[in-house]
Amino acid sequence: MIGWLRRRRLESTIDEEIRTHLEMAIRERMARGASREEAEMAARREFGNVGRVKDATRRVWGGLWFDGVVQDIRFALRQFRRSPGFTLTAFTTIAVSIGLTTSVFTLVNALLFSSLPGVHAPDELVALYTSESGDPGVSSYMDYRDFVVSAESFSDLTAFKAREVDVTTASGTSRLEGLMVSESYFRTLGIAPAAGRFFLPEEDEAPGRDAVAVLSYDTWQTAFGGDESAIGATITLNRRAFTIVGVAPPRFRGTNLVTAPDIYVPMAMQPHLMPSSGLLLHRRGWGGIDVLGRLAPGVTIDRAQAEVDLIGERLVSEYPSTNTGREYSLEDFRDATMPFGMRSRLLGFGWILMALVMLVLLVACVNVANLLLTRGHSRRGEVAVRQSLGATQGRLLRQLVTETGVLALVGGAAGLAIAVATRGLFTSLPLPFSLDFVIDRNVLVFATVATGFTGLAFGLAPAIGAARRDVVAALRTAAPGRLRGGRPSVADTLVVVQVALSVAVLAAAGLFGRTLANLRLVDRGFEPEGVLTAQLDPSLQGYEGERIKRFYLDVLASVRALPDTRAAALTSRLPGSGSDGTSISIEGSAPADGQRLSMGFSIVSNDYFETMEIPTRAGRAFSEQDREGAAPAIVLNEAAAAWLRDLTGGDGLATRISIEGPGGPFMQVVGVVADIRSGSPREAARPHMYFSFEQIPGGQGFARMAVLARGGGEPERLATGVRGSIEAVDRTVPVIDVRPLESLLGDIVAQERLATSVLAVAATLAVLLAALGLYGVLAHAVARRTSEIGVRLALGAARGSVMRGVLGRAMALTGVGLAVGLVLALVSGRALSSLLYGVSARDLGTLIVVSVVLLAVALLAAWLPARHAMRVDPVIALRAE
Amino acid sequence: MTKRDEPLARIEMLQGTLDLIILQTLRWGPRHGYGLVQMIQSTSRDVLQVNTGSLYPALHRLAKKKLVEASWVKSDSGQRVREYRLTDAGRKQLAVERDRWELMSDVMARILAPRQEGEA
Repeated sequence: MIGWLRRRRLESTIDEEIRTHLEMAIRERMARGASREEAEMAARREFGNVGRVKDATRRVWGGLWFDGVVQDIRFALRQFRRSPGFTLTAFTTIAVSIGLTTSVFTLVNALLFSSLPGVHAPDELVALYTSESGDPGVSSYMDYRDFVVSAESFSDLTAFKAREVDVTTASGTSRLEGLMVSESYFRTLGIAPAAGRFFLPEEDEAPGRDAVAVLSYDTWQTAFGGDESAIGATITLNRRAFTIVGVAPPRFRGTNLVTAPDIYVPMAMQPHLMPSSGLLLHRRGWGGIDVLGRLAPGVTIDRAQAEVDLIGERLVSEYPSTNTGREYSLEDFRDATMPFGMRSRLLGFGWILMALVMLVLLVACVNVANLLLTRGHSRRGEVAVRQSLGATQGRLLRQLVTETGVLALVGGAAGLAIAVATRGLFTSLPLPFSLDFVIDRNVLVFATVATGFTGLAFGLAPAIGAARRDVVAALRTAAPGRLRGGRPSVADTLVVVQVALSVAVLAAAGLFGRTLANLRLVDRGFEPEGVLTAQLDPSLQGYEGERIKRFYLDVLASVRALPDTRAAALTSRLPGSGSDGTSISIEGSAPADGQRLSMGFSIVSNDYFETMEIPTRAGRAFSEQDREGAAPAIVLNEAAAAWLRDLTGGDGLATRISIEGPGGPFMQVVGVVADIRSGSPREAARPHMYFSFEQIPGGQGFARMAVLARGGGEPERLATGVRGSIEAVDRTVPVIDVRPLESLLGDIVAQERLATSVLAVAATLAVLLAALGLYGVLAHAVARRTSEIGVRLALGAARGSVMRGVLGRAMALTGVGLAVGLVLALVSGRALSSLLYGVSARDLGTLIVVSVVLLAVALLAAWLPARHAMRVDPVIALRAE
Repeated sequence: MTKRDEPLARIEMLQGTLDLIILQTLRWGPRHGYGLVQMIQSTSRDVLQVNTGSLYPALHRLAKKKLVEASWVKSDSGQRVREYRLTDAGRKQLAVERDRWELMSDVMARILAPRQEGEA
């Protein structure tokens, strides 16, 4: 501000100084006998260009830059007011394209950069995975204890496992998302309690001894109204009173983006939370534990990995029976926030989406550049006048850059506003996890960089072109161009680029649309429609052994007896809720070099396949004959049958399998059923085997089962009946998650749906912009050549031929752009191919449709200028000349 | 653009000499811009044409270097004019510049001496 005042003073000093100089010169000349007019002329001639002298003098003092910028901005705003059409078009183009790009970046940002809310210094966190054969996954609690004792690369390690718990209050029993955590959990994540305290080391020592719990902030609010008196109060979890010792902070939602815990208990309480499994914590063979570590200061992930490898080798030599083949890997903890591999898949998808919307941003830049170029043309006179009034080349250039800068800045700000406004669309997406779609520093930086890039890209080229223009040439009227033929102008080239880029985006959108349609048609191997599910765990209410089996058989009979039920079944795992696995041995086939075989499994009641409508491919499904005491039977899915065929060389059906070691007892494979696809249809089915619930003696079965009921119509209509019939068996056992199977599976095409809608918007925008660009160029050409057209019409040219001339040029530009765009689409299609399904990246049909759409839009864009050219009145056109 | 109308006899000022000339001229007392032009032209018997386009930037440049200082005063005719006067630093600078100029013109004179060119 002070600088600005000083500058104002300097300015008036120079003005006055030069004015007095001129006055003195004039007076002296008049004194010598010249007339006032003569004296003035002579004095001015002697002095030279006043503006330029003032400018040069001011510049001596430096600091002119800021001063000029304010002036330039004011001038720019005045210019914009003068041509509202141009300004509005350019502004909208920039705003919408930056808005779109920033929106998509918000999505990528949420996946890539954003960390878990409330967690301290997440960059120091690593996930410790255990792999035996196949994907890295959960670890053994005993191994974890060894790492805690031995590993020095970590300042802290924590183990945790999610487990639902029954919570009993005066109003009944409900189920909450529980998380068993080692006492180091909150410390490792760097979290302070919102109230009370977190767990003490001694509370995580003796299995089942210390019934203490920490509430999530939300649970504290809903169950206790956020009252401090909750600390020290008791809460009944699985029929046992737990003392509440603390509350987690508000934003903390655990480390898993899929589910947020409602309540935390010490890991030592595992036997109480998993009553049917016994004490798992002391079994080295049992995995199931998530492990996170915080790297000690200065330790890199590679150094920590080296130490983990060493400890791992030691564990193998100490516990060969359980640890042979076990390997441990440290990964970016962010990968642990989603089911394995999901994050990287989503990221790859996000980047491709990002690349495609960046193309749209490019089209937008080209469009605005073209607008500026056209406008620069009509401003040639103005520029020339300012140049002859003393504006230097650099000064002019700066003015033009300022104009585009202001345009980019205002447009960018509006784009950011659009991104903020449309953020809700992402949040409402049916994604299987919760992401923080925040407008954070990353997003702001991105929007700023995108805006800067835009400003430079569209602003600089035309600005240089305009400022370089020869003054004399510009002062003459613009040289008339031709409508047809001739050297292609810069504007023409830009239109071609626009068309080409929009073809690429349009093709990508088309391919994703086809992919979405194809995925919807995929045979899933079962029929989720019309099936209602409910989840039960009687062991949490004290059921054990044979009583559990009895309970379920009663429930099954009771549900089946409902008039609306056509079929009912039980399963230990609902489709889409993950899988249990076990190691297997095949009779008469010793695996090569001590390799251990494992396979996913589920325990299902005998009428499961009928209820789910899973077709039998070979042999038989379970039936009445498979009951306790009969020869144990196994049903395989097709993937398992194929896998066994590869392993044994024989028919999968004749195979006998043991899950209790190579010594048996063996179970007979009796049939093969279809693979079911509960997740994305593009994923190959994994080998899976089914055991009969009826065959397994009570107590060895799973306590947590889901009931499936298929009715005639909407599954919701079964809900009351199913709930009632289960409660009729025992009303103390809570019935959880009564909902249609379809809703449980979630939107398996969510990713494709997202891609298709984002790309549809992007492609529409790109094509519209290209059309706008084409229209602009043609309209400008017609306007500039009105007189030429007038002459031709006056000389007898047919109006149709004039119109064909304009349309011909439009089609020529579009044609070249289309050709380039198709090549671009074919090349970029390779990057897309991993995301496509049932359609080739070079799909001819899609490319044809894209071409037709584009040509049609181009014709439409050319129509108005062409009609305008046709309607030129030769008399008026010639008179204007 | 003004050049075309100038008498051919006038020569353009050598690069970098304007500062020296201004300092030298100001040695005789404070002057305003127009006065400087008049004085320089009369001293050089109108051979030197001072380009006002460079005079004011030069004056301000010297002022910025604190070799001259400026102030508003009333002229004899009662007009408010901006007068420049030499500072002590300016006086010292003038001495340095003049020595350098003398050395330079001496060298130039010797280089351009007709005898050494072997001309008739």
